[in-house]
Amino acid sequence: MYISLNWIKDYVDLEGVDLKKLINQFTLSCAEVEGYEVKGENVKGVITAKITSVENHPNSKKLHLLKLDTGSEILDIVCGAPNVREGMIVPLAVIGSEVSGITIGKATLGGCDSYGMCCSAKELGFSDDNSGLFEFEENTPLGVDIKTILDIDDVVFEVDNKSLTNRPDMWGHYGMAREIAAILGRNLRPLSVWEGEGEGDKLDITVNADTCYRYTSATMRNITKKTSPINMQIRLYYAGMRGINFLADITNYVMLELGQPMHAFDNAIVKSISVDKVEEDTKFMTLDNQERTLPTGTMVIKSNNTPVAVAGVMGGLDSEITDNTNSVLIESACFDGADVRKTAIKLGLRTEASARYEKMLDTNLTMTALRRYIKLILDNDANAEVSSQITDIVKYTYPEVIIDITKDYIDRYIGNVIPEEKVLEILKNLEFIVDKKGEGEYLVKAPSFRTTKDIKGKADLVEEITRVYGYDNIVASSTKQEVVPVKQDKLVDLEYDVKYTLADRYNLSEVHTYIWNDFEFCNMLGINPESHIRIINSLQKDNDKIRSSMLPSLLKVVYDNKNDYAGELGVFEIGRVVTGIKEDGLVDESKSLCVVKSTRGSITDTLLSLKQSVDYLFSNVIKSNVEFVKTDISSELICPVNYYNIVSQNTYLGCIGIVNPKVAKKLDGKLNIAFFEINFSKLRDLDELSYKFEKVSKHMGTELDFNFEIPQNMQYSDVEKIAYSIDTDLVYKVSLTNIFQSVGAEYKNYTMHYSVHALDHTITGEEIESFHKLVIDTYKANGINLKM
Amino acid sequence: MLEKILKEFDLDYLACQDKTAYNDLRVKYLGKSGKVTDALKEIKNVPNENKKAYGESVNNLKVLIEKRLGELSEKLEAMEFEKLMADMERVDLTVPNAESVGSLHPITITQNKIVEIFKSMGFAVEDGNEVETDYNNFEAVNIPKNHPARDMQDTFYLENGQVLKTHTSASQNRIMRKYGAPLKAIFPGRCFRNEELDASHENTFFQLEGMMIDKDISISNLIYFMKTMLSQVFGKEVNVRLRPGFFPFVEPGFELDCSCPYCGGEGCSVCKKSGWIELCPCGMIHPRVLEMGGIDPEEYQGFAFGLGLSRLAMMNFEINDIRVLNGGKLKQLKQIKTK
Repeated sequence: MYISLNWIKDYVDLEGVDLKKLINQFTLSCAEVEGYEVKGENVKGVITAKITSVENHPNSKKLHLLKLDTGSEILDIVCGAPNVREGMIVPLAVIGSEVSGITIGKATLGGCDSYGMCCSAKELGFSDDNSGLFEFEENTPLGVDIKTILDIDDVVFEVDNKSLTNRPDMWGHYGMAREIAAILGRNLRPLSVWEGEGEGDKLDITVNADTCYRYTSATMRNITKKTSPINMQIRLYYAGMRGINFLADITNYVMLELGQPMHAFDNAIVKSISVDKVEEDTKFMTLDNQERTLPTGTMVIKSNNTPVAVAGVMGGLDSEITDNTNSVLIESACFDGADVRKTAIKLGLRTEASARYEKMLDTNLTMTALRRYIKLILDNDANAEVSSQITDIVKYTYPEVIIDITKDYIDRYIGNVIPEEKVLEILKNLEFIVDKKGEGEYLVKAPSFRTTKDIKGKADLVEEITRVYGYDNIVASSTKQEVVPVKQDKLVDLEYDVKYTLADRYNLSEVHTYIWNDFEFCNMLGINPESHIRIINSLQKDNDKIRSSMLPSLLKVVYDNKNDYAGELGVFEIGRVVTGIKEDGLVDESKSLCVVKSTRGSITDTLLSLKQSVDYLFSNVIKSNVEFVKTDISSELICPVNYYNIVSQNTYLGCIGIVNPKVAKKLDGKLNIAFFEINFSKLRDLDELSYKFEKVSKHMGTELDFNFEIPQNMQYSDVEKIAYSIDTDLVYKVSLTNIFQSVGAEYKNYTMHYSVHALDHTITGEEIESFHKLVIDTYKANGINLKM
Repeated sequence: MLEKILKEFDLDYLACQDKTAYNDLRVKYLGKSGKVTDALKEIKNVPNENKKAYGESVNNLKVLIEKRLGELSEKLEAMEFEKLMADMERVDLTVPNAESVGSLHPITITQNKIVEIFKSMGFAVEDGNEVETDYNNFEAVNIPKNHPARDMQDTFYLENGQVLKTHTSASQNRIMRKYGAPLKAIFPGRCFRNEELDASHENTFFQLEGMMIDKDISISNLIYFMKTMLSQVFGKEVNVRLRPGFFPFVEPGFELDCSCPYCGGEGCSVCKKSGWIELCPCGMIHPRVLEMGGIDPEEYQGFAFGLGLSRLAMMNFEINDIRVLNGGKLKQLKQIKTK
């Protein structure tokens, strides 16, 4: 929103105020100023002059040769404007003056000399109108600086609209002036309004829609003025609107001044009003010349049962003010903010009016605005008169807000003591009424323009006091808290440790991917990953399926990077997946850890290196056991061979395997891609296993190797169970020291290494011999023989 | 005879160039049947009256040769060391390492640093869901239906009426209910906004939010705390200033500006020449929000604050396009390793 300081000066004395300080203070106490512009500073020395003769240019059809009277001399000017005529008084930039920051000198145009330049309003920076020269009124004195007539000099600052969301009172210059007065500690001048009650009858106004809180109206006639005063137009322009005609300009002016949207209907067409909701979808031509369909239930203003305006949003074309209008019915109404907002969104039509209504306007404002409107018409058009009684239908008024608060509460909430007189002064300047109940106890009544949504309770009052007092003036201090140990969630540390281990020890790179499956990528792979729920309003409409596994996301990362690393890369992410919908209808969300490694090496090497990282994570970081349990389940994405479940403490946590070659081929034909994915949230439920010292013999032991023939399809985990089932008092450790395996053979050969000790003596020859035999017998009993 | 031995020794001495020759030399003169030893044995043939003088002469000769051999040994060792040094292979430590290391995401590194700071100040670290209920995301933080703040947040809605959380504040209610008051907790999390992507807008980004609730928590405490915390985050003393900011879940609400840690407030490209960076919306927790969290606002007050983790990570690593964070381009992400 643009704020003109000239306008503010109508209501607050800014004498001696440093502009930059003011803007800074406004930002720190009220709302964010995004920037400011000093208007008129690049126009200097332009004066009024009268065209005394117009002749055609000898060498140009567009140009004219003019003589201009500056009051003290006659100047030859070459001018290209189409609207030149004798007797016209125009702005003349004489030699040495400045326009748009450029100094004007003598120029030669088409061979003729020009001693200055006549200017349009656009060239002088106070309008978009570049159709011709700006024209002064007939009796304007000649040779005077145009700035003595036109209020071009101004400072306009832009306030961030978002920071005004909660402040309907600040959507007009008067409300801004109130804030500025409060922060400067100066007086706010009263608004000048018409005090009459009107002539003749009340108007025929009915309010049927409960979303219309108040409708205040009057009619005026004999309006003869067609254009608004130029300085009013300049203000409108500086505030971001433009001059249209007298009545429309006054309408906009009141809105920009008070924040109350106004509408003027042509009284020749609109004589009575009813506020209704349309009962069926209705076609309606808005004044921007577009036909729109108003959905059933849209609040409209009707006259003779025909809609003439979309309430709070925009008027209709048929009842619009035209150059022929000489009587008006003025609408100053208060509508429900949520309803107007809904309509504006449905119609895709956010207007200056709807933006203000959305903020929830004060119902009391309608009367003030109507009286201000009438005053402005009467002041500027001597013939105009009020032709009805002021008619005011009030359906709803926001409840009064009276807050019981103590000085102690204020001091405690702020953490500093602000002197009572300062507190009272601030509240008074903001138009709060304070009733002092007792020592340090107050009843504070909020002004109605702050109660529609903003001020509700004690904390709101503290905000008012502190922001005007100045947050910079609050002395910071530490809290006084008891020392209590903090219980941390084990997953928080674990998550970082796991990430760090994978990156630092296993050379994997952490990535972040989106929570939805990438539609195009999945299409390219020819897969349709499981998804339990969709986003219904995604801007990227196909990427709407929430993932249930992170594998597709990480495969996309592999795909996106394969050219950079010749396909050899490893990535991981701890992210979220939705694995189902619970009985209560809410999603079942969990954290998931997924690692994907693609290599040009063998399947065995790739998968074993990944398995090694899982082992390490469980033994050293998560501190739990881990088992890999072969499973036959397959999916379009996962290869059915070499597919294992990851299990810890008898809990299924996830799986490890390789990507289905059919899919991998589409990424890159030569790559083997291994992955594992575990449900990270479930790690919270695992007990942390403790490790204890085992007894170690101090006495000499022996080392024994056995070479067994193991059936091809037997897993090492099963062999290991047998290996540790030797029934003996000796202590021993087993390790697998060699594997020999050839494709198609019935057996594979494992060399099992036993390290054997007696706890309390040096092992004897007999003991070794009987242990040796025991091992062979134990394996034999399980169908495993020594290799011959 | 002794002179002859010495003369011969001098010649041998000059000829000796390595350890082997040295050992031979030593044996030749001082060994069991070396020349000096032999000369000593000769004493039995020397007349008695000369024995003493002869003995002394041989002994002097022995001492002299031992001394010379000692010098020779040192000299040879020095030569050998020189040769060893001359022949030793030279290693260039400026050669890059062959093995590439993995990398943590910029967000993880930034988040961990901040989390550690908060843990040191006694905060619990919490973690919310990414799919939230409408109640937690909006209602419980004082954004009722039809509230314009719902417009500001372009929300992803799911089929079952749940939403992808639009802000970490969605966790406030659950955390208040879990801990009750007093409470000190932070909760980093990934948030979502349904908007188009460009260099400064992502639909998926990270925030970190914190709350502190106790008796007599004041605005003064909030300022103190934010200044302390941000000074830790940036590793240097910074100043803060508050401006009014509107967030439905705090009252009063503030936009907190931090004096630019990069230029010290002089004005630079990070702070857009203003000397301040808008960093951290915060405020006193709205009494309604406390109430909905099961905490009595008459007894307890608190403050809450949010930090844009994605933004901090970008500032930290001088990333100028937010799309890098979710882009999964390893050439970019691998640059920052694990620290």
